[in-house]
Amino acid sequence: MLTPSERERLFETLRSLRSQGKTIILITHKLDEVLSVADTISVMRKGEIVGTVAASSVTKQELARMMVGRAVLTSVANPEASPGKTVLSLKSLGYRTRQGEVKLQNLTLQVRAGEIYGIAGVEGNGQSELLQILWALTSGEEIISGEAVVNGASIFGKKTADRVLMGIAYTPENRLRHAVITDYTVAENLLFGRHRERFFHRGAGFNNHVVNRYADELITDYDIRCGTPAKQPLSTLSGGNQQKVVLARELNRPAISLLILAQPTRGVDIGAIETIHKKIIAARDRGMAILLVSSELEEIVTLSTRIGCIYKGFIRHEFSQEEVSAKKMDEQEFQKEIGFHIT
Amino acid sequence: MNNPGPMHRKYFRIFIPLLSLLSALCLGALVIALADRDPLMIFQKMFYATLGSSYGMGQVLFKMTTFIFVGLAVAIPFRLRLFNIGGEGQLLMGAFAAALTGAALPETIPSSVAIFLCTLAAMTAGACWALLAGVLKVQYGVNEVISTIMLNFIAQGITGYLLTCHFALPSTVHTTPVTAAATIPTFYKVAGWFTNSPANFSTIVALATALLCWFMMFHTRFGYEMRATGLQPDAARYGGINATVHTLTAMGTGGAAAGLGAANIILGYKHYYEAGATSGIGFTGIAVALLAGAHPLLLILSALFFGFLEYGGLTVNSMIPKEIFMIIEAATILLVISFTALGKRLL
Repeated sequence: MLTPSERERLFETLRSLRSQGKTIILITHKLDEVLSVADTISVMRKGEIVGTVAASSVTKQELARMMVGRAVLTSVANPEASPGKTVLSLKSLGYRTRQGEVKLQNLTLQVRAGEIYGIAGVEGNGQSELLQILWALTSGEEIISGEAVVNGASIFGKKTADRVLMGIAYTPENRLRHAVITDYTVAENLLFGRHRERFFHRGAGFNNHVVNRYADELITDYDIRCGTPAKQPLSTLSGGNQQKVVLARELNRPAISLLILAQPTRGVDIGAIETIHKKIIAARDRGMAILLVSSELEEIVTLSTRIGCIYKGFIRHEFSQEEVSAKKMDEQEFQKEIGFHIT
Repeated sequence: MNNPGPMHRKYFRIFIPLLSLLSALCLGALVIALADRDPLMIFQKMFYATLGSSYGMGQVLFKMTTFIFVGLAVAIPFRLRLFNIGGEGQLLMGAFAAALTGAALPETIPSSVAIFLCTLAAMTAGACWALLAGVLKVQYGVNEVISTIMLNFIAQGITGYLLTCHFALPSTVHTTPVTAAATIPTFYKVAGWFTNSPANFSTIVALATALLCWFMMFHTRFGYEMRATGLQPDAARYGGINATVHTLTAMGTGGAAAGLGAANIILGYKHYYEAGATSGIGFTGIAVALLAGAHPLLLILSALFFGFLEYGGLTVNSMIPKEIFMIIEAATILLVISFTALGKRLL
């Protein structure tokens, strides 16, 4: 990922190459980028070119419509949040690998109920390590220091399954590797990680009737495009629909107080992004504390109540709720300012 | 690339083993022809000697029974991506334990208790032997292929030493026969089926065990977790699944299944442990499991096929060396593996 200023420099280079008579093909899913730098735009959908237009004669909304095949909102409405008590509190968290490499140092932040705390940062600045700590996925060889408290209780020493019982839900960065079993059916995946919930049990197995009804509900609610959920393997779904399966499952967990979202819309088409963003804001309004880790500054700015800029393993700068609301008015300028804090 | 639907995949799963079986039989025919014998005549004779006679059918069933058990010993851990090469050693330890327990029991003991105790001893011995590899895996990350192969040698050493130096009857290579109460009755003795053949009630236990394993794997939460762990270990960890528990259970269950196979041979047929009584059978279990794609129900068919080859090979031994049938068995496995890989690329 490039920060806004790095991106500007890249585009300057591309423009100068163009003026020297070079032909450049740029493949991207970012509408702003393609509109600002390209002359001619071809839109691909399902392996086909669905249209070719001049960049000067098209708007972002029109491009989005071509990509998805229906009208989409490129930015969802985000009413002001009213945060409550602190749910997650990290105090001077440190993470050192066995080789002595420092991944996190003195990282401190709080996430309150009913707010989305966005962590902006270039990948590799400690985000993955932070997520490992939060979901008990560390290998046990690292040295971890500091404090991590959820609803007043420390999460250290608790296994993943117990953290679920503490009211934590997590959608990981790499969903195909971590969040789903690709050979399992859609219904089985909607159950994955929640299969210990009594509600779904019957005897030694699952109550298929309950599971199917639950799957149908989520599929309708999240607009997951698939065939029969009890038969279709998850691997045959599009990236956006797979992500919706993961989000639907995690957001629907009973009694969650802390939701951790890592790159929730990575590799997802803009139609699905709209649905996912709406669901995240709705979850916030229901009073969940949400920790959002994303390398997409646009996503961070659109969704976050407060923003922490992570750099070399600590929060280098934090934007308060008031600052975020005010600066959001000029999104481009705000992204540039965040970019300054994360490089 | 076309993405195959679930139905396509289902047909594909059945079709590949069948195609490889057919090709292996053709290859076998070719080898027999090269050995200057008429393949059709050989196959015909095999057919009559097995399916054509009630004794032959009993023999095939008896062999199938052992193969189901040793096949399960490989197939269950296979679902967790654990390759248990140690069926041979687990079978050996099970056989030895069953024979010693049976010989130590008093004659007056009720038959049901004696059979239960001997079978339990065989299962425990097999399970412990497999669990050793399991513990090495979860504690120290030792590759189970290496450890189970080594444990095979150790099992051979232990049983060989104990037999020769302590338990063999003078001037024989076998132990004291088990007490009559501990023998599993044959179908012939009880119902008059399968004239004089060693087919015994273990066959029913084998079918039930395969069914139970299938149910456990595909219809319980335990199986759901187990298959998930085998398919995507990283995801299983994220999902809060305890992989250690599953590794140990799968190895233990596999070893116990091998122990049941040993009970079939010792309590149902031999009635004592003899040097070489189980030799090579554990390895055939690998072939049985692979041909069935580690599916507990398909495994019954695969065990039946290998039972047919194994006993059929014996019946034509005077005309064609048994080694030819070893070639067919091994070629079948190679063909299954190759066709599966090829099929994945084509579809």
